[in-house]
Amino acid sequence: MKDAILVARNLTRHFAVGGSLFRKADTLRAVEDVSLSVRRGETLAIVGESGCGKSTLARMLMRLIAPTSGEMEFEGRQIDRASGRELTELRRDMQFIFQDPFSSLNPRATVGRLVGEPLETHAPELSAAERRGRVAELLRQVGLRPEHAERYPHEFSGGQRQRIGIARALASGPKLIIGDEPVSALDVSVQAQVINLLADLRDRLGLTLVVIAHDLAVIRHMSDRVAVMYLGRIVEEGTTDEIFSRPRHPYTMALLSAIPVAEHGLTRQQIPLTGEMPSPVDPPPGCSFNTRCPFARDACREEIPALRETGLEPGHRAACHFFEEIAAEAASPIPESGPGRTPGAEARFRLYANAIAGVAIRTKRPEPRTPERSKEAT
Amino acid sequence: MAGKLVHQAPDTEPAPLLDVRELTLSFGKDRTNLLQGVRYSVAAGETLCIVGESGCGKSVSSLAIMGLLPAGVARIEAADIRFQGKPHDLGDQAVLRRRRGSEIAMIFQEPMTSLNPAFRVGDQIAEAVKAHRDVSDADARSRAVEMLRRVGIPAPESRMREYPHQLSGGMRQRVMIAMALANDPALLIADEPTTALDVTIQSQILDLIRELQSETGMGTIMITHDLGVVAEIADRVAVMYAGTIVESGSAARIFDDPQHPYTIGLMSSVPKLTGPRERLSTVPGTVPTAETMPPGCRFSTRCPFAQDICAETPPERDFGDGHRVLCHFAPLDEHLELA
Repeated sequence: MKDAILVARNLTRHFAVGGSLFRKADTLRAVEDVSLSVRRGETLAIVGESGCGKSTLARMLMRLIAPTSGEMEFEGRQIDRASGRELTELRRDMQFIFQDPFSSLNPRATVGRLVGEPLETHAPELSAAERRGRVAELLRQVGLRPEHAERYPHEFSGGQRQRIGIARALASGPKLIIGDEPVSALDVSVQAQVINLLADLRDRLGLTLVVIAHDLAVIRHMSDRVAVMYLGRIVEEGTTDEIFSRPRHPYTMALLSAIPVAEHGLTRQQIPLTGEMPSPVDPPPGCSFNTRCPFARDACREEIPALRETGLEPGHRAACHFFEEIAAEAASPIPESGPGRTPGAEARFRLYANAIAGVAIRTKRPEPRTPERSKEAT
Repeated sequence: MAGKLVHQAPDTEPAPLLDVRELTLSFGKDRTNLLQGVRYSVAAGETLCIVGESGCGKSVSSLAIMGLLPAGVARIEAADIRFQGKPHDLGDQAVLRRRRGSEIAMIFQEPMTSLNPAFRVGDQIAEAVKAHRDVSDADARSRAVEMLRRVGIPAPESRMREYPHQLSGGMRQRVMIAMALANDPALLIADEPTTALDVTIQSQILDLIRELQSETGMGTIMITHDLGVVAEIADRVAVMYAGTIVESGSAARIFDDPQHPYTIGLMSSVPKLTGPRERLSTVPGTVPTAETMPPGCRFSTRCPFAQDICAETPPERDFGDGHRVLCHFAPLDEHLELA
């Protein structure tokens, strides 16, 4: 793999649940045999629904939890058994952004302390004054003001708090940042601000991003490559354009077709999924998706499909026995647009985008309150 | 030929089921208006979506209508609401109590906190039936089984005996819907009913709500922040910002011909599934708090087009077919241009 910054091979993580003195614990198979590689400078998205194992995978990649089996390498160093000093160094290079900006920041610490804390660990040589200067710079980088360092998290809105979390993650000068649902707790208008900020930081600082998310539309705007997870396994991976234009796994298709699109008058080909994701304590035999797949056949209930090349584009892989046939018969899951916006609306959207981008706007008429097209004139 | 009997023509616009003509609520000591002149209506069989971001007042307005706002916290400054053509008096607690759960039902975002964890789900539905109808225990229970079956819960007789924690999020929301519809309400208010659910489950629940609505002919008010859900389910849309409805109209108008800068900003911020993967336009800044609420147009602090005149209350402009917009500059494309 060309310049992979982080490589995982056959990662598996099991948890023991519900055991007691008299009863053997069940095994919850959170992540099962996942291999992936993250290239330097790219944004990789890991997408899936709740309980698919995406957060466990993210925490494992961060080495916040250890894998049950499998190997991981960061910049060529073996890290799956790293501990002590080695782990501290790893933390400097890899940082985490959490979903909930409300519970992931210590409410009793000032923003200055929250952002300065990683510097104490990873850059102990800095004097207090230098550290303050660095904190001010970090805050500026994420679109906050240096004087915000004196304030406490509760004084900020959700979006601003997420910016504080990002500044904190940037403090140690990481090469890779893993974000677990970094924008899903935010309102749409603020979500777009944070998506743009992460893209800017990636480009400016040469970061590599791994983003865990459930929202495919958000992922489409943030990532270069996508890995789709279902019940602990990667079922499809490929470039973002490829996954959204030519999805091959029926689960990816169903997921795409289930997303409500903010457009009126769409004609969509829903691929309806019945039921819910099975429990990872008791996964079905064969393909993990067979219980909900509208295309499932006998072979799907017996044999676990391997993640294999689709032949469409190198690196586009799907774990389905029959994706060739299914793709031939299934309709595109991406909805076709309706009549669309009126010319006037298009003009208004252009005005808005220009105004946000900083282009000056002026009134056409000196008096904006034009009289209603008056009836007495006719 | 029935002589001169005065007859309502069947093809005229049906009277709205719920007609909120004016609702203004104030809050706190400084009496900032939490809701300012809110106005919307919903007809039988119709779905109105109230869309807006957190803190815009979309939930507060429906809680006020249900009489569920804690007394002493919010004060009703002005209210003119009609339900089924008759005045809906927010001061009459007895009527409100009778109406809640029978004529007007409500479902919430998080079914886990709305269901009582200590009681079996069947008993909770049966209790809702008995609260409004004089029926025997057995009848209430058979009504509960029937409702669970209608909302697509397999093996309802055995599910009746389960506790909320034994059900998945999607199943719990189905139970909530079963409970809400047990008394055949004329109006269902659904407050972010699918926000906590995964997309594949969300689409099942939206389908279910639509299906039940066409069976029963109830009116539905859906409160959501998700424009995708709005496009999916709404007949009409009210866009709310900081306690005011800045734009309202048919779903077709709102999506294809939006007028208010906030509606346009909101739609520009939504990540898309198709089209070029370009940088998203945002709505800069954050929603003003009660202390920082600007005079005049409440969106003016975040609006890229704001000028001095926006400190005055914006006029309501009617673009026909009930498409109403509160903005000094509407239509933007006729009043503004690139410098």
